[in-house]
Amino acid sequence: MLLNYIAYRLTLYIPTLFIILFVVFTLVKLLPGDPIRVMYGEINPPPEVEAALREKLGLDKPLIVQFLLYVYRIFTGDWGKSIATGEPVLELAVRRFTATLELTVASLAIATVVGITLAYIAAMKPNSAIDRLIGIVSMAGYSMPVFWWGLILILIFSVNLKLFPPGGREGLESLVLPALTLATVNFGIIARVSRAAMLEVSTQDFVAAARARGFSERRVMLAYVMRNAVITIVTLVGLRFGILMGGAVITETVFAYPGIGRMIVETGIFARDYPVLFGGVVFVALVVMTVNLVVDILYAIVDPRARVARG
Amino acid sequence: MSTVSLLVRDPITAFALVVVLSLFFFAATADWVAPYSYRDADLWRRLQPPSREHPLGTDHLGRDILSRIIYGTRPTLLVIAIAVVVAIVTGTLIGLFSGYFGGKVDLVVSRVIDALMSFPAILIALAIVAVWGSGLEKVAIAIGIAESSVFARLARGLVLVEKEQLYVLASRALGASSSRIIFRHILPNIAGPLIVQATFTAAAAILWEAALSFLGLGAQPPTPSWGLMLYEAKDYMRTAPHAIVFPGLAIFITVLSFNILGDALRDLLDPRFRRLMR
Repeated sequence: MLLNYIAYRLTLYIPTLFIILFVVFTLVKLLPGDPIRVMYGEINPPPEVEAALREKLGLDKPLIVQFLLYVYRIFTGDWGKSIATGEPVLELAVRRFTATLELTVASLAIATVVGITLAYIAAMKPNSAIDRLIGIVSMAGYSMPVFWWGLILILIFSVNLKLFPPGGREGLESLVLPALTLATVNFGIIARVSRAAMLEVSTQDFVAAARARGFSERRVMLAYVMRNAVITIVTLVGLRFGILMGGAVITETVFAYPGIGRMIVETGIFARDYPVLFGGVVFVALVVMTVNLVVDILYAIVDPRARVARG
Repeated sequence: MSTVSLLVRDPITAFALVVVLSLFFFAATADWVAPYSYRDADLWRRLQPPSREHPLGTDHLGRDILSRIIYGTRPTLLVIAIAVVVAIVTGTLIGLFSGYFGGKVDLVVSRVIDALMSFPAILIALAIVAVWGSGLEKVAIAIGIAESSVFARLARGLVLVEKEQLYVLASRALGASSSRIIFRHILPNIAGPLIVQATFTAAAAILWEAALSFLGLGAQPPTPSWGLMLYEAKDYMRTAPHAIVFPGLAIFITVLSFNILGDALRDLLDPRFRRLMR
C-alpha cells in the first residue's frame, strides 16, 4: 500500500518535471533575437562559423528534437555555461543554493517557533479577543511587502542601532536581518494553518475523553492536541516551501545576500545572462518539487489515511 | 441582512472596506485631491522631511510624496484589474472545461496546473518579464498568468462537485448544450468562491507588482507606482527614510485590507458561517 502510494507519487513527479522543462524551454525560444546573433553582438559571424555553431547547438533541428536535447542535457548535468564568467550553470546554482538554504532554514525555524506559539495561544481560547488579535497580526505578516520590511529592518537595526550588517554574507550576524525579514512574511501562514489544525484536532473524541478524565488544559493541549496537529502542520509548512523560496528571491536582493534568488535576478535578468536565468529557475523548481514529493511521502508514512486520498 | 451590512458589523472589516473603496475614490479624484502633480520636479526641495507644505515629504526629485501616493492608486488599480481579469478568465475557463468534460484532457490539464503551482509564482512572473521586457501592463499580465493556475484548480474542483448536482442532470435531460450548462447554470453557482479568490489575487497582484517594480522590472518613471517609489528611494534611505516608509505603508495597508476583506467574504459566502453570524 505504502509502496503503491510512493510509486503513484513518483509517476506524478515525472510529467510535472517535463511540463516545467517545457515551460522554460518555451520561454527560452520566445526570447527576442536569434541566439547566435545575440552571442556575437554587433559583429556578424562568417556564415560557415554560424552554420557550424548552429549545428553544434542543435539549433538546425526541429523544435521537438531541440526540446528533447534540452531535457537530455538537464538530466546529464549539462546545464550550459554562464555567458559572463564561463562557469557551468549547475555548479553555480548548487553553490548559490547552499547560501539560500541557510537563509530559508533559519527563517523557517524562526517562523515555525513564533507561528506555532501564537497558534497555541489562539487555539486555547478560540474567538476570544486574543485570538482575533493573533489572527490580524498573522495576516499583517503575510501582507507585508518583503522588500520594504527588509529596508525598514536595515534602517532600524543597521543604520540606527548598528547592531547587524545591512547585507552580504559574512558570519552569523549577516544572516539575522534577512532571516527575520523572511520569517515575518511566513510566520502568519504557519500560525493560521496551525491554529486550524489544532482546533480541528480538539473537536475529536479522544480530546474530550482526555478532558473528561480531568487532565489539566495544558496537558490536554500539549500531549493530545499538539501531538496530533503537528503532522498536519509540518506537511502544510513543507508544501509551502515554494512560496518561501519566492520570498527568498526578493529578500536576497534587498540584503545583497549571495543566494540563488539574487543570482537569478542580478546575473540572470539584469545582466541578461540567460543560461544562468533559466538554469536558476529550473533548479529552484526542481528543489520545490522534490521537497513537495518528500513531504507527501513522509505524510503518507506517518498517516496511513493519506495513502488512499489520491488525485 | 445584506452582504455589505454584515461586512461592516466588524470594525476591522469595515476599516478594510473603507481602504479598498478609498482606492477607487482617490484614483477617480486624484487630479483634485492631490495637492501637487505627481511628476513636477522641484530640485530645490529634494528629499525634504515631512512638513506643512509636504505632509509626507518630498522624493529625490523634489516631488510631493503624498501626491504620488494618491496618484499611485491608479497604477495599483490598473494592475489589479489586468491581473485579476487575466487570471480569472484563463484560469476559470481552463478549470471549467477540464473539470466538466474530464477524461484525458483533464488528466493533462491537472498535471499542468500542478506543475505551475509547484513553481514559485514570482519566478514565473520574473521569467516572463525577462523574456518580454518590463513595463506596468506586461508585469500585470505576467502576474495574471502566474495566478491563473490557482483559479484553474479552484474552478475544476468546484465543477467536479457541481456537475453531479440534480439541477445539472435536469438541464442536461432537457437537452441543454454543454456550454449552456457550464456558463448559465454551473458558473453562477460557483461564483462565490471565485470572487473570494479574486480578492486574495488582488492582494497578491499588488505585492508582486510592487516587488517587480522595486527590482526595476515593473513600472517605469515617472509612473507613481508605489513599488517604483521604493526603488527610487532606496539609494537615499539613510538621508531620507520618509521616502521609504510612506509608499511601503501604502502597499502594506492596501494588501492587508484586501486580505481581510477576502477572509470576511469567504466567511459570509459560506452559508454555514452566514447562519452563525445572524
